[in-house]
Parts: sequence; structure tokens; C-alpha cells
Amino acid sequence: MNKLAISLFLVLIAITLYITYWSAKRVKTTTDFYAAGRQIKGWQNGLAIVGEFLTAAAFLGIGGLISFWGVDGQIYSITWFASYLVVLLLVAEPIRNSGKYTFADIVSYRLDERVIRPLAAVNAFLISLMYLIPQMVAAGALSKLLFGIPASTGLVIVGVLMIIYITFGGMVAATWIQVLKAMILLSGAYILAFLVLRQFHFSVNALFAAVANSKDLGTAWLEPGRWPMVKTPIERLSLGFTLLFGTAALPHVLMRFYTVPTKQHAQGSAMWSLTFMMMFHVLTFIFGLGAAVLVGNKVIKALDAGGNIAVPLLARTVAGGAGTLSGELFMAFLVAVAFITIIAATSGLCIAASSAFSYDFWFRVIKRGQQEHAGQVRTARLAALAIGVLAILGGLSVQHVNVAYLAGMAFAIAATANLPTLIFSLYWKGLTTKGAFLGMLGGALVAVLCVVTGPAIMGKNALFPLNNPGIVSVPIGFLLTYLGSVFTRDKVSAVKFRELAVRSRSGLGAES
Amino acid sequence: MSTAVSKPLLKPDLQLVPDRWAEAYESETFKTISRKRFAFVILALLAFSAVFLVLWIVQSMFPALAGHRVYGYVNVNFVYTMAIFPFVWILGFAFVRYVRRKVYPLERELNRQFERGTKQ
Repeated sequence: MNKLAISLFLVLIAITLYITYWSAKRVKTTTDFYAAGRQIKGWQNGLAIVGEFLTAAAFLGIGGLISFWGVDGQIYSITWFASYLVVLLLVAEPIRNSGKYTFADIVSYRLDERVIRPLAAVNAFLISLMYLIPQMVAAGALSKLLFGIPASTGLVIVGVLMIIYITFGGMVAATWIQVLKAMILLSGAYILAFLVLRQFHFSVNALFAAVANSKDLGTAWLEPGRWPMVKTPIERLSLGFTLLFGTAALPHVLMRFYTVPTKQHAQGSAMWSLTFMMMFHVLTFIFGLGAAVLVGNKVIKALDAGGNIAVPLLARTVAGGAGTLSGELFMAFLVAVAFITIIAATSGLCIAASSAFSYDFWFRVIKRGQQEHAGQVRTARLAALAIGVLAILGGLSVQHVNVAYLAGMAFAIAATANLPTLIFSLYWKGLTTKGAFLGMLGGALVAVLCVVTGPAIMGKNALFPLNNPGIVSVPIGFLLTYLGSVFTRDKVSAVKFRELAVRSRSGLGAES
Repeated sequence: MSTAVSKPLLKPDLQLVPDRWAEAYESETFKTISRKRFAFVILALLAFSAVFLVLWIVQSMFPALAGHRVYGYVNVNFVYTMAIFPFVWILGFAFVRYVRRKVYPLERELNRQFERGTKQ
């Protein structure tokens, strides 16, 4: 399998490198680099957004989770999917109407830019990096599991490819690689679901009956409450809360709405992403329960305690079994797709982190908006290179440590620190610079503190009881921003609110 | 090579002075746009929250109901969870249709009013 998977992987890599070469010729201005020249159509951006979100955690992780713990794993599917409704209703169009390249463009629009933009840039940078490093570590672990190559080699390969894609192709390459990945992944997912359901005469009830009657499984796999992470009602609610609201303020997701030419396309992107997300996430129970029945969760656990091998093993089983050409080929295909999935996801994060530094911090704050286009693109490329190197070194230094909590922390900071400021910026006249500062800094600290003192790091000695702090930290973030605003004054913000409100809700004056 | 490009967010002919933004903000057209948008968004968010809240309540507090079989081995939890997908999608689709039919014409009107205004 390894040689077959590696061969398919190399074919996909060759295609992505060609996309990067094609994109590099089109990246001439900062708008090309950060926003793909605002030339991406709604459905294309919808696919790219889905590409950003169908990471290895979604493709391999949810299936593995369901195969181990039953239908509780679907909580990821429904909340990640539903989070795009929040994006569609509240942020997609306003962001496209009022900003230029980054999340900081919106939150600093009516506030003191010298105070808010650097803070927003630091938040965006940290969120992207915290999300990026676990992806790199997962890439290393998966490369060992899937290809049989050392984890550190796999991690470096992912890092180098990410640097090449972004440094040369910017957002143009990142977008088209995500589009390609999303299409391949959705196709692979539907073929797999078809093959699994064929084993059960295309009857969901027959699949469930097989689960219920299996001596290793049972009806408990079909009912909520088995997975320890959501054992208590408050844990279940908090996980859903963190995922639902964190997504709506992730910098690399928000950035994607600048790549389209108009607000209609931004709205269309969110609707298409909702559609494609639904197309994928309605299938995850088939993968998880199918793997539990057809492969056996003991077999999966013996090979990988994390469950990430469940979907590839299921693919081999339903396509003919071990040792058959069709079985090995389909497994190799899904393994190659999974790896491309990780590389594409890291690319989106890399460009978000690099824009936070090169555009928000360097160009807007240090250079005060005074730098020629070529210089801006050069800085952006150097930033992408530096972040890539940082992510590789960071990943290598923590690859033997469980850093999954970093991704949870990224979601928690996005939901706690960024979302309140983003929502209040767009919809509340009373927001002040000091309120936003308190909400963003205080919110980030609260989110970090909750995770650091929580069970993910302190285990049984945890001072904070929840694995995912959203249910506590998000209201605190909103409260800090609110209190900081009602006790301070900001005349400029109040006056500019009218401008931002008109612009964000009506599209008047939006850059095209 | 171009220089110094803190490129304006607005197209040159749409650079409104603060008074004009205030005027646009106070206009009846803009107030209607905001009212129509918020009416849908608030209703949609309430419906969406209620659906998720019911799922959470059923899963957390009524496990017997969640496990109650409705067809063969297919239980209430599964049917409800899977029903959330089309429900959320329909909310999104309805929002897009609503905005395009009811709000975009008003936005075009607002654009016409103020684009014209700034050119004078």
C-alpha cells in the first residue's frame, strides 16, 4: 500500500505544484497575494472554504471518533456545519463590504487603529499558529501511520510544500489547491459512502442493526452519552458553543470572503460552503459506524489509538479487502487525499498568519500604510517563509507532546476574543477602543487561562472543569467588551459607526 | 512602480464626507434595509438556537427519548440530528432568497441616491 499511496500522493503534489506555478504568474499586487485579485466566484470560494475546514480532523478524525465512541462524534459534524449559518447571517457580506484583506480591517475600522490593529494582528497570528502547529504534528504522525515514513520527515515535507505554495502562489494558489482538494475529497467521500452502504443493501437501518447486533458494539453506539468528552451536559454544550462561535471568527475563514468580487459572491460563498459542508457531514456516521462494523474498532485501535486509520481501513475493506488491487488502490487514494487535505489546510493558515504580520503589523502599523506594492508583496512572501519555518521548528519541537489542545485553544480565543469585537464593531454603536481592547486582550487571556488550567493540560488536577471553555469564556468576552465600552467614551467610534453600518449592511462604497 | 498605497477602501467617486454617511445612515431607505435584515437574522438565529437547544436537552437529559426507536434501529437522536442538516440549509437558503428579493433592491436604491449625491 505504501508505494501505491506514495505514488498517488506524488501525482497530487505534482498537480498542486503546477497550480502554484500557474498562480505565481498571476500574483503581481497585494490584492492578488492576499485576496486572489478578488476574482474568485461564489461557488469556487464556497469549495475553498470547505477545503479550509475539511481537515484531517474532519475527514479522518470524526469517522475514527464515531467508530470508537458512537454517534456522539456527530457533534463535530453538526456544529462545524451549522457554524456556517452564523457566518452567512452575520459576517460574510459585512466583511466583504467593509474590509480589504484581514479580520483587523473590520475591527480597527471605527476604532483607534494604532491600538486595535496590532492587537487584532497578534490575536490572528496566534490563532493561526496555534491551529497550524497541531496540523503539522498531525501531518507527521499521519505520514508515519499512512506512508510508513518517519514523522519528522512527513512534518518537514508538509512545511516545505506549504511554504512553496504560499510564498510563490499566495492566496491564488491557496484557493485553487483548496478547490481541488475539496472536490477530490467530496468525490472520495461519496464513493466510500456508496461502497459502505452497498454492504448493507443501501439501508441505514441495516447498518444500524449490524452495529446493534455486533458483540463488540451494541445499541449504545447509536445513542448519545458514550464519549467521555461530552459525558456531562455542560461539556456537551460547551464543546458545541466553542466550535459554533469559534468558526465565525477564525481569521483564515474570514479572509476568504475578501477573495470574491462582490457582496453577492460573498453571500453565495457562504451558502455554497453550507451546501458542500452538508454534503460531507451527512456521511460521517456512515464512515464511523461502517468502520466499527466492517473493520472492527479493536482492529482500528490496535493499529492507531487515535482512530485516524479507521476511514482508510474501511476504504480498503469495502473496495475489495486487503491484498486486492481495488482495495489497496482505494485505500491509497484516500490516504493520499488525507495528506493533501492537511497540506492544503496548513496553507490557508499560513497565509492568514503571514497577512496578520506583513499587512496588519508591518504595512499598516510600522510603515503606516506607506509602502509600494512590490515591497508589500515581498514582505508578505518573506513573512510566509518565516512562518513556515517557525511552524516546522515548532512542530518538530513538540511532536512528541500531545498538542491537540492548541487547536481547541485557537477556537476558544477566536470565539472569546475576536467574535465579540467583530460583532460589536458591526452592530453596536456603543463600542469604544478601550472596550474592544479589553475584550480582545482580556478575552484571549481568559480563553488561554481556561484551557491551560483545564483537563486537557492539568488532567485530574484541573482547576477549570471543562475541556472546551466556550460556554464560560465567550460570555466573559462579550461582557468585558461591553463593560469596557459603557464605562469609556469614544466619539470617533460613535461617528464612524454610521459609516461602517451603512457600508457593511448596504455595500455602499465597497471596493470592487 | 506605484508608491504609497494605503489604497482607499472607497472608489474615488464614492468617498463620502462624514455628513453624507450620517445622511445615508439616517435615510429611510437605510433604516428599512437594517430593519428587514435584522428581522430575518434574529428570527433565524432564534429558530436555530431553539433547534440546537432541543438537541442538547434531549441528548443530555432525556437519554431514553434520544434512544427511542422510530423505525427499526433508527432512533430519535439520529433522526433529529440528521434533520438539523436540511433545517439549517433551508434557513440559509431562505435568507439568501429573502435578501436578494427584499433587501438588494433597496440597497441598489441607496447606492443610486448616494452615488449620485457625491458626484454632484
